[in-house]
Amino acid sequence: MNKHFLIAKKEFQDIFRNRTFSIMLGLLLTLTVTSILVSTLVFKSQVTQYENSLAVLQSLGKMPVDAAPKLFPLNLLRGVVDYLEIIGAIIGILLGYLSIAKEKSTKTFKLLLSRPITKKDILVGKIFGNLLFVSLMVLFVAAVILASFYAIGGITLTAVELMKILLFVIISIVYVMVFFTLSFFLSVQQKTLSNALIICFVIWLVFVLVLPQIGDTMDPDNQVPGGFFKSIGFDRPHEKAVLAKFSGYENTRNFIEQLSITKQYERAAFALFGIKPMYNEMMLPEILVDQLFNIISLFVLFTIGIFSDAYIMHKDKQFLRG
Amino acid sequence: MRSFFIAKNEIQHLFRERTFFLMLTVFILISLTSTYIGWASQHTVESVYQESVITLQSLGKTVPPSPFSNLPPLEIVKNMIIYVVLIGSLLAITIGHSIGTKDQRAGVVRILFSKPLTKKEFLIGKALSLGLVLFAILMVSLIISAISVAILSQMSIVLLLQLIEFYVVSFFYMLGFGFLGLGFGLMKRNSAIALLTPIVIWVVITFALPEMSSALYPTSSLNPILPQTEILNSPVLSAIHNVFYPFSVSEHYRVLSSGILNLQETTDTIYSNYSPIICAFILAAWVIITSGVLTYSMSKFDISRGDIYE
Repeated sequence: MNKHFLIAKKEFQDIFRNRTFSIMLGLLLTLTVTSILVSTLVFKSQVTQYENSLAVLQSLGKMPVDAAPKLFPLNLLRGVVDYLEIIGAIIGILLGYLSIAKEKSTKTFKLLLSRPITKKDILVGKIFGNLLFVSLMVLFVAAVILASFYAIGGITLTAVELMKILLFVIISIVYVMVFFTLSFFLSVQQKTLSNALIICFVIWLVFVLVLPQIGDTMDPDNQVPGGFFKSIGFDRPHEKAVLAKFSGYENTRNFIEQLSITKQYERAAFALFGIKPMYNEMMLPEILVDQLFNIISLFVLFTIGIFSDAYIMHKDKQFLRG
Repeated sequence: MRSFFIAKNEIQHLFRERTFFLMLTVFILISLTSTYIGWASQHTVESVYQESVITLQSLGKTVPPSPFSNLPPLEIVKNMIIYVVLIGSLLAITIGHSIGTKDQRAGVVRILFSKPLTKKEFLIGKALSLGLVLFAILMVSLIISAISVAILSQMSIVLLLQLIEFYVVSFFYMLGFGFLGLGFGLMKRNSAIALLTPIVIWVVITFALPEMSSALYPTSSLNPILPQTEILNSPVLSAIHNVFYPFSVSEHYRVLSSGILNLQETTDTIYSNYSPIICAFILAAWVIITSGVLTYSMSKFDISRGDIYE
């Protein structure tokens, strides 16, 4: 246990000494605040516009048809989820890469293994150290969210909303760690480190950006600004009834989206934050049951990642050559 | 002449690299599939509309005109705009990085400059190879798009010229990112930082600036049809828009490309976009600025340098 702790501590200290992480973390936090600021201003602007329209209607002696915009504070976090999807994954890739790169470039693996330390100890220590860093990073993002809510919009959250943020923190940590394990695996397995990094970015590109983009492009409702069904005055049951006749196409689209870990993370996070309006009406346990598959998928991928890393550490001889 | 030798050597080396082929395969595959995806989506939504019409008629409601009627023939290649912004730019950064770090990784910088070779010739050779490789990739992509459009939609000289014009604009957009990849590859002593710095710039240009200038959610801006993002009458948002919009190169590239391909209006933002001429001017400024970064990095390049750190 002590050996694991020592390796984890060293890993953690190395991350803090690295300028690259400061840059990426700074970027993530800046974009988080920017995103909340923009969302809050858009919401305030909508409220102002509604109030102006209401005043005009009342002066004409009419009643408004649309309900007043209702603020669900967590709805404002859509941009934060997007940035964690993109930049969080890049940070995960960098952590995995640098965790191996520093040992390969300084040829310290042999030295480490000449001590009473096993490959398993190194793996556990490295994963634990990085997990700790990722956890602190995501918690810090959560703290920035709470502070921004309070500072920008004067918003304080309820206990349930805080619980939702906590669950979001957990799935975000798992999501980032999946990319860590992938990058760790490739950095050990590939002969050239920059090749490992480029392959990771290609995988990142396909799973984080391309597959979700293809899914969105294929969405019939996504073909008109504001939504196709809304533009022709359809409600949800009518929309479902029409789409039921295109189940083959819809299933293909859904399958493409489900191939992407990012989409699974996004669906779970969007459900927790009520970004799809139907989830605003649901209780937290109902949301969790609805999103169980996506949440379990994230944990399964993380577990597969850890076992793959253990396998490659055990098998690969390049690793020892430095 | 020596620049040509360097360019030839760079291209030969690039085609021996597996990672280059990986990125190239993704880009070519996506060029192949994007037209089909566009075509399949277009056909399905038209069928969905026809089904919706039946439902509306049975409910006795007014049937609105199809939002998908009179779509331009090149509508099915609209996804390529997004793929150039996403994959094309990253591909260009990777190629630039690979060309920029190759000699340092091989530890041959000092040997190279012990020959009668100037920094200028060295830089021209590298930039030339980058330009030629990007040109060849986009030529392949253009041929794929032209054949796909001819099979799935229609083709004429005018449409072909529009496609060529679109790929020329895409070339310059990607070239800017390629220059950044090459410039930081020459400038930085650490390979990871050399790759990461242009990627951070790419993240800012692709996701952060559109959010700040047009209140677009980061991943929404990847959608060919943008959601309603009225900035409304917020003076703060207007001010942010006014400051950041001129620098939002990816938005200008999209506006320019949509105009060239005659695509329908794809967003509801309250602010009107710049005219295509201004967008083209900003795109030209983008290439000039990034080539400036490249020239600066070469001026800082240490010809007595050893190998690069991984």
